[in-house]
Amino acid sequence: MLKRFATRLFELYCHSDYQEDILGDLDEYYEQNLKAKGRFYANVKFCIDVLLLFRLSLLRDKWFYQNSIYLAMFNTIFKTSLRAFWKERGYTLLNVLGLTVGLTASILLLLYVESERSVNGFHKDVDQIYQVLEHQTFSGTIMTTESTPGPLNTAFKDDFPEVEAITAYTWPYELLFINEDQRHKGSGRWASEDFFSVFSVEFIEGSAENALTSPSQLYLSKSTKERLFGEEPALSRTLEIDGFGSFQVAGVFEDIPDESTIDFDFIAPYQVWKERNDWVNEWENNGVRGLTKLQPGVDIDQFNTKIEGYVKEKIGNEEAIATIFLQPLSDRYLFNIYENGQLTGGRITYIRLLTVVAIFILLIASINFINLATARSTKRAKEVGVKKVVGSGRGHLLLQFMTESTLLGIFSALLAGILVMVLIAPVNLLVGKTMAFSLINVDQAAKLLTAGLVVGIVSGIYPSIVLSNFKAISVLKGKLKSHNSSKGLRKGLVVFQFMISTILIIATLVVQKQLNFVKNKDLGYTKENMILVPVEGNLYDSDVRAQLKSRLLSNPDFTHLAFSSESTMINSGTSTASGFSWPEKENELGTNFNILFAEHGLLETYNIELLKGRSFDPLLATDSMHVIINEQTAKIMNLEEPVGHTVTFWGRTGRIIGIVQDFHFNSLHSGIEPLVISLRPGNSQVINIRTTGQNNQASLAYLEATLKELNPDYPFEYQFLDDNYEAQYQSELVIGTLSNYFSGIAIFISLLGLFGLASFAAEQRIKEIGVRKVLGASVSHIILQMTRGFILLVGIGFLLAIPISYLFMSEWLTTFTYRTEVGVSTFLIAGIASLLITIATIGYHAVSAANTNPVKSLRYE
Amino acid sequence: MKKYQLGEFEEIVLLTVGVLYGDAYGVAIKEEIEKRIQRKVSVGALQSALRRMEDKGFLSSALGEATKTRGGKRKRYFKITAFGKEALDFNMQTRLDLWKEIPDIAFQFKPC
Repeated sequence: MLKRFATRLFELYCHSDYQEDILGDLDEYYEQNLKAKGRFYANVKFCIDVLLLFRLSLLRDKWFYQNSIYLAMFNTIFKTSLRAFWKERGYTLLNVLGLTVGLTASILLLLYVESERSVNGFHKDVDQIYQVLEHQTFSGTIMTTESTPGPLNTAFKDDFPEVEAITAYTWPYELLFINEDQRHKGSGRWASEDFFSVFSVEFIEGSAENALTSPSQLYLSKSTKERLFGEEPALSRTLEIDGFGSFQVAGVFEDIPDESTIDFDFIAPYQVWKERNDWVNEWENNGVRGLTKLQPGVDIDQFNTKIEGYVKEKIGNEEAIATIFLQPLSDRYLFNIYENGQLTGGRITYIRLLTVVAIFILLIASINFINLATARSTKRAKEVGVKKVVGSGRGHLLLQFMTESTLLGIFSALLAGILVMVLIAPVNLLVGKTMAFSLINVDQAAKLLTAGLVVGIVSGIYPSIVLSNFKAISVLKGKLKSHNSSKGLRKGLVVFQFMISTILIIATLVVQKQLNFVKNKDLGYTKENMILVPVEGNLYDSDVRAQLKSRLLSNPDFTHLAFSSESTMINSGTSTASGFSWPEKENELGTNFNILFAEHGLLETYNIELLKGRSFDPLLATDSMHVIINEQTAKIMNLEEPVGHTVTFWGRTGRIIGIVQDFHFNSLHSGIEPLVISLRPGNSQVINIRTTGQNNQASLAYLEATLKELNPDYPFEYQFLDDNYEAQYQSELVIGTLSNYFSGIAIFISLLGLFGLASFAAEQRIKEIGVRKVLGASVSHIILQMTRGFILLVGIGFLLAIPISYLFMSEWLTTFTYRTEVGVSTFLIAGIASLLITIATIGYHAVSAANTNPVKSLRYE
Repeated sequence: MKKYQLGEFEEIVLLTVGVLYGDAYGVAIKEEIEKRIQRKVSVGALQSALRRMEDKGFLSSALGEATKTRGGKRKRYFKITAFGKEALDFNMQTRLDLWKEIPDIAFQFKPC
């Protein structure tokens, strides 16, 4: 086997005259060695000899193109291609520039797409892992949530043989870790035993074996461990969790990659948490998340049908509102929006959109090549004629022109690869990713070259056919027919380019308009100059709170301070359907009321307008029984005089003392929901602090110093409400930035093509312009003549773009309940902008052509 | 010197081909050299030296008859050409001349 392979190798490179006798010699040595030292030695020796025989003097004669006349032909084609490039360097430059920019943009886009698609892909057996989700029906509409009943964790596996493992874990918990004098706050989960057998992590210390079985064992991420223990190994070391006693480190794992929908710095034993949260033992209550691994080969649709009534059965009530189902974890990130129980998409929409944009940008760049090549085909007609006369067939000519475009494509791909390597770092910063690209990576380099090849072939195929179709006789006679078909196609392609570019510009404008709308929308409260600080440690103590309040407000930079369960952005807050009631309430009313626990002064701190009644009064102790509602709640209660009406909220019966104006406490994607504000200081999680915004640095420093003194155990942490507010629209913001850049790139490439066509037209019509000028045409008339055609094409592209972009963008806007309109002004701006840049691009050639002296252009006629 | 470019290993191979007159093919040459000079010769080095010298015109070669051994592959027998002989002569002559030019005193290693 080895010997045969070596023989083939030898035959491959060795000069054919020498093969027989040297191989004979080798055989002889082989036989000798076989007898003397055995088969293995003989084989190896044979191979080594073959390798050592790779000598210059033994190589095939003219090794690289012997036997292949085609290789010789490629040599020629290669040479002529390079000469053609050089002769037309201006156009080559335009083409390379367009293709390079196009490829760079597309590669960056596709890298982004790939990185988005790879989210959650790092798990072992990811196709067996599913997130447990739950549909909950409230007054006829179905909400979908990750919250699932706690007992599922133990029952699910016993009840269904398809389940290999299931783990329950909590929402992100912030805990303070203390190791001697090292303090570090980490966000992580309490998770049950099977967690590590479902969720793949890489252990640096310890292992997944028997993990999470002991109530005193804890698992840390690498970076958390380093904060607490430095470089030393942490295994079996003990550390304190503030409020939970001491734990032993049973394992350290690599940090969870960014491409994960579930993130954590630590994993703590679920049982500890469960003991303190016994509500989780009821099937009726939702709270924990579930992640499950099914046996290989389970059909997920069938299984989902099977478990549809499972929770109802467990609760023992057919009327229960909950059903659980599983979603593949690999889909969780991209397919994240359920509307009324149906999967309607989510991030995948943007991902598909970006893929399409990437393809269109490449297409625009390819069109440049096609247009320039067909426009200039007359210039190369003679070459084709001569070649045909000498005897080359159509195939050869096709091959030649295809080689030219492919070479250009591959060259541009290499340039694009270098550009991407340079640009990847700033792009990562821009979109908040850690993408990597390197030409050394064989996989990526291969993809890049394929892209270059495809672009080269796609853009080369039509011009090659046109060029190789020339008839030798008519070309050489000088009777080259102008081909109307390719002229028409050229025009069509220009229209197409500008249609796409204009659509992208309009889309960008609309996205920006909506983002501005979101930023400037009057939310019903003031979001600027609001600092949020979490309530923790000593801050649960009411005396400390009072001290904090008086000390901060004594500083003129701070105007208001109030405690509440959440800031005014209640996205994942608590809500209740049955916990809020009034005498007239219909039993089956399934409306979910959002809950905000406030303390005195919250409305004032946020500038939330009170429409009727009064705010909570610190002097009235009975106010803790009363509630304030928003307009939505009032509407649902449908009472003549809501203020003063008796209501019961979570066991406390009191009255409605006020109605606040509806304010946007969730994202503008959805409408304002009913809200109940109750006075319960014990539930406060956030300190809302309003500053004047005059001395931000000084205010923060003062705040930090005060908190350090009052709450020394906890590191200072704060957020600005307006930052949080914008972070809600993260994916829209990323799309906004991306569309800014990519519409710019698309229009740039389109203009490059137009520039090339205009310069060619000016060159071709030089005599015509001369004649016109001699006959008395003015410069402005000629400029008009020159630009009219192009402006018409761009105009048609623009007109075609209007309906398409209108449809797309109004569709996109419907994802927001509160939205701006596409608007006529958007189209006007886009239209005028594209017109102006078109004129600027072709104007240069038009003006210089119109100003040439006719004597010069007509001298040789 | 330029006329006869003959390296040290090439010279040995050329001489061995002469020694083995009529029977000088790859395996035989290799064994002969290994036997006489006590040094390992790699097939690659030997074969490339042979072809190189054939190119230079020091050697000529012809394929022999096919035999049943070595899978029916023919052997290539090498012979020294007149030009090869000249090169050997030249090499020997230059060396002899150099020998002769060495003064006797150069070889007297007694301490002075």
